[in-house]
Parts: sequence; structure tokens; C-alpha cells
Amino acid sequence: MGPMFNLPPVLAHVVELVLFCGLTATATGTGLRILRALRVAEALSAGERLVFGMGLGYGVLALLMLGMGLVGLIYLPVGLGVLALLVALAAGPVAGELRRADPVLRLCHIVGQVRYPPTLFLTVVLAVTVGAALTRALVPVATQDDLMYHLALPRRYIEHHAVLFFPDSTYSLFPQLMEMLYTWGLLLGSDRLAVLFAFGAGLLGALAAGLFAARHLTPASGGQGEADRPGPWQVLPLLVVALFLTAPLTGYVLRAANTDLAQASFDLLAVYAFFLAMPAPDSGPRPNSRGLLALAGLCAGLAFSVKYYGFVVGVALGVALPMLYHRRRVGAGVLACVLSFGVPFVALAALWLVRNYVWAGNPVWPLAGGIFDGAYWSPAASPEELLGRAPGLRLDNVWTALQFLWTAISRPPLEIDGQIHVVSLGPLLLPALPGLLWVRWARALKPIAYAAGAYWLVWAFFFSRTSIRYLSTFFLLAAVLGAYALVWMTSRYRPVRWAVATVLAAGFTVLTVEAALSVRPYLPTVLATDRAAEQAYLATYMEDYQMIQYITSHTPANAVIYVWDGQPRGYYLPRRYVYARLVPLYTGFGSQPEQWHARLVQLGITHVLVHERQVLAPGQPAGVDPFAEPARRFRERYFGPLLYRSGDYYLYELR
Amino acid sequence: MGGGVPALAERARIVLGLGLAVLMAWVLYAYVFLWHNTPDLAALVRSILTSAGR
Repeated sequence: MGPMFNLPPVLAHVVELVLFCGLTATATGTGLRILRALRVAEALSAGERLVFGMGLGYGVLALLMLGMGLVGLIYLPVGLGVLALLVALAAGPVAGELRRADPVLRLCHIVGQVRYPPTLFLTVVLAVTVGAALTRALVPVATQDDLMYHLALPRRYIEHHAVLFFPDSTYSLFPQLMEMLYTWGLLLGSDRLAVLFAFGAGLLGALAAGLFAARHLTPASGGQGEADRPGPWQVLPLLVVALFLTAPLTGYVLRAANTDLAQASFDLLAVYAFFLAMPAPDSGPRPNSRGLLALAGLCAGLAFSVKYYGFVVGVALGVALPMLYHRRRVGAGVLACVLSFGVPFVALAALWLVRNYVWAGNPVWPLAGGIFDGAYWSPAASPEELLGRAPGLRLDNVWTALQFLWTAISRPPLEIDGQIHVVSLGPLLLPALPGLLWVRWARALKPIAYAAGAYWLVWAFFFSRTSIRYLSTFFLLAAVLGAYALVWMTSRYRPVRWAVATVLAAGFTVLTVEAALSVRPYLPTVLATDRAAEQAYLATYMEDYQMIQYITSHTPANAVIYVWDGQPRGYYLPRRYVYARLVPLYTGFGSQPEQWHARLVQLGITHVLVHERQVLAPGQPAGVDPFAEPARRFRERYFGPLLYRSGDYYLYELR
Repeated sequence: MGGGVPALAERARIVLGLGLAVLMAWVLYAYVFLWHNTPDLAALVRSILTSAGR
């Protein structure tokens, strides 16, 4: 699924960007209607309405696709009809916001602020960083997780016109809010549109964090317009955004149709709405606190709908809610408040859990099979057994997690598929955090720190052997905390101001230059006027590209490929395919050769695509493959002669 | 600050703030010169330029 309408890449990207903006505006308008229904719109600023509206709107758009998929109606005309209805719904609220905003006045205000040199500097830093990330997002999709499931599953949904359970993919029953948006992108004819949804959802959290800082962390938020005067506090919102977006890991994730940054965005929105609902000390409850808590619950539910790790912030806020209300002696409404938050959170989470239970007999399939059992699960072939289980609850997990974090900060650039990627956390995001120990905290900083601490601790105790990307929520919250600490110190102590400003200026300059230079392999493809540039890009950076070309031209249209790889990539495969070993009991992987072969015949397999490499099994010692011996016996007996080889990829016929 | 002699706590905060700036400067130095496995900024830029096209 390349650029849409068979246009040259550069023109296709213009269309994709316009379409993406239109879809985002439509989603935002729909979200604004929900804010009105919750009766919280008037309690929010214009910026807050826009970020919450956009978040909720993305949620609506995704859930509509899920609905279409569950009833088997993923067809372009149906999709266009649904979008037309949404446009009609969204037009009024969007027009209303534009009328209220007075764009000319706002533009003058922004231009006035940018004249302050630090603001101008950070504006340039952000423009270059976001521009570089956008460039990387517009090249043909070639990242592992996208090819394996983030886009491979949406492609299957479109081919079947339905959202179905594909038991060969462990990811088939994960929460899939973002994959539903990616399905929209593919349905409208462009996988780059899918990546742009991820890009937009990733930026949403950074925008919301900056807005939170501007509205609730500056002295002006408790006084009169101080933040409009030049000075360190004026810089705080942009500093928050810059600390997060210039972290090289953030830029690396932003280029793909991933889920981590979207989860972080919804998590932050949940904390934001939760803070708005909290009564100030020595005052009664806010009149619209129940609506704001429902908004927090919806955002927490959307975070869970993006990724299982989204449960952490929702549960942490749910635990804090009764305690906070009890302490502030607003006892009468505690139950109503808990329900206002809990019902939308649980309802959105239940949507995915019930789907999984109905389809696979396990609400979190294929995880926790020891508790829930479920389809294609056995103790010997569980993901925990094959991929490694969460560490036990021990205090030394905290030390292990800190070491993991240090590795993430100091990690050298990686070469992935022939490209060099800087994937560390960079020099600025986390080192400012110790400053929190001696600065005076604003009230609004506490819920941010509470959520960040809860998320980090849960990660440290249970998930610290996984990917550092899963900490994205913590990093976004840490950007708010770190920026606050820096600005607080620089606003009070002139010597500190100059020292910190010098280091920040040097650091941002390095990161910005690095981001600008990183677009060199991508820019010629993004700006190409010849579609062949995209094929050339894939041929350069995808080792299996020649194999895919061979399969296209040399295998029958009804061939079914058995993808024999620990990290299979199905998105570009031009034939029906089945992943071999992600869910071994589904395809019989590792069973007795005759039984295994009979299962493959049953699945209609005609060819086997083998990726010869060390099997990635993080739970196993290096080089250990629990299926090595049965796999060797099966290959000797049932693999036909080699049809084609490209790099480490081998194609065989199945005997 | 009021122009007077800062209290001990305030002085401590200034020292801690400067210490934090030094820490951040060291992490930045390490990011550029150690963790990228390049001895100087020019080499870093050269390595980015040469690796970018691969």
C-alpha cells in the first residue's frame, strides 16, 4: 500500500497531509461534542478543548472502525459514509471554536512571544525536530513491528472486510485502538496516512503536556499574566515539549505506526483531566467535577485501548480518587465520583477483554493462560515459557530497572536494516529530574509526579525486562517534571540561570543538528517525483524485498506461505500467509512431524519462507531455541528443494 | 532575593542548581564524545554524515 492515487510520492504526501488534517479536524469536532455532552466544555480553555477533543475524537474514529469490523462492513463506501456523518457532526463545533478563537489576535500574541530569544530558539528546535520526524514518517513503511502486526493486521482486516481473530499472531487480540486508526489509513488507500495517525497521536501528548505547564504550572496560572512577560516561566511550555520531542528515542518511535506514544498521550490526558476535577485545597468540589472525572476515565480507558500497559495510570488514578476526596472532606460525593471515573474506564477496557474472551476464551489472550486457559494455549508453549516471564516481586528489581534506564540513556546508535538510528534517551530528558528534590512544588506538579512514580514502579517491578519504549508515559511526565525543576531554579537564581541555559542551548543544538542530519537517507524518497524511488528505498533497506518480488512473480495467486521466523513480517507479503511459531499450538510448530505436516495441509500451506537467523527468544539464554530439534527433523522430511534465496531469506515448497 | 545575603538554604539551592548544571553538562559531553564512540564533535558530525546514507 504505497502512496495513494498512484501519484508521485511528493504529491501523494501533500494529499495525505491534507487528508490527515481533515480527518483530525473531523475527529476533534466529534470530540468537542463529547465534551459538551459531559458538560465540561465551558470549564476548559480553548487549547484544552482542542487537545481533549482530538484525543476523544481519535477514540471515536477508532471505535467506529472496530464496530464496522465486528459486523464485517470494512468497505470503502461504508467508510466514506461514516466519515461524511462525522463531518456533519463535527462541522458545528469546529466552526464554533474558530469563531471564538479570533485567529488574528492569537497570531499577534504568538508573534509577540516568539520575539523573546529563548522562545525563538526553542521554536526553531521544535520546528526542525518535528519536521525531521515527519520526513521519516513519510518514507515507505519498513519498521519491524509495523510489518509484523501494527499494519499487517489492519491489512488482513481490510482483505477480509472484518476485524477477526487471527490465531497465528499473538498480537491479534491485543487492544487495538491505534490499529483501528491504521485500518482507516489503509482503507483510504495509504499506509503513510496510518503512520500520520500515529504521528498525530504522539504529538498530542507533547502538546497537552505543554498546555498543562502553561495553564497550571506557571506563576501566572495562579496570578495575573506574569507568563506573558519575558522570563524563564514563559519558556516552560516549550521546554516541556522540547525535552520530550528531542529525545532521540521519541523521534525514533514517531516515525512508525507504533502505539507507545499514543498510550503516553492518553495517559497524560487522563492525569490532566483528573487534576482539573480535583477540588483546590480549602475549597469545595468543583461544580463539574463528575464530568471532568468521566473525561479522565475515558482518557484512561483509551490509554488501555491502545496498549495493555495503559492500565497503570487508570488504576493509579482510581486508587487515589477516594483517598483524595476523603482527605478534603467532600465525603458525600465519593461514590458518585468513583463511578464517574470508573465506569468509562472499565467500559472501554471491557470492550477488548470481552472480545478476547468470546473469541479465545481468555480476556488477555495469549497472556496469563495459566489462569484463564483459552485457545491454543498449553503450559509448555505459553508466551511466558517461550518469551520469558515477568520477574518476581523483589526489591532488587528497582536496581535492575535503574541499570536498564542508564543503558537507555547511554546506548550508542544502532544499525537496523542498513540504517543508523540514534535510539537513546538523549542527554536532556532525565538528568534534570534530581532538581525536583530542592525546588518548591506547584500543586499541579503532584498528580504528574504521582502518575510518573506509579508508572515507573510498576514497570520496574514487572516489565523492566521489556522494551524501554514501554516507559513512554513516564518520559512524557518526566519532561513536565524536569522542565519545571529547571525553570524554577533559573527563575530564582541568576548564576544557575546562565549555567543551565548554556547547557540546554548546547544540548538542544546538538540534538537538533542530529535530527536535521538524520533525514538525509529519507528526504530524496519523500520528495521524489518518480514512484520508482519508493521501490528503490525498500530494495535498499529491506533485506526481504527481493524475496517479496520473487513471491509476487513466481508463486501462484492461491499460494499460502508458512512464515518460519521468530519475528515474521507479513505486511508486504503478496500471498496469504500464516506465522509459524508465534502461537505454536495453532500451526503445530514443534509437534511430531506427521501431526505437524497434517496441520499445515489443513491450513492450506504450499510454501515455507525461512529467515535463517538466531531465533529471538528473550526469555531463553542466547542461542537457545526450544524447537530446534523438532524443527530440524521436520525440515529434513517435508521441505522441498530451495526455490529462491535472498540474503538470509529462503523459500521452499512444502512437500 | 531582596538584595540581602541569601539564607543558607538559598545558598545551598544555588550550589545544588549549579551542581545539576554540571551533571547535565557531563551527560551532554558523554552523549557527544563517549556514547557515540567518537572522540570529538567533528568526528561525530562526520560519522553522522557518512552513516546517514547507508
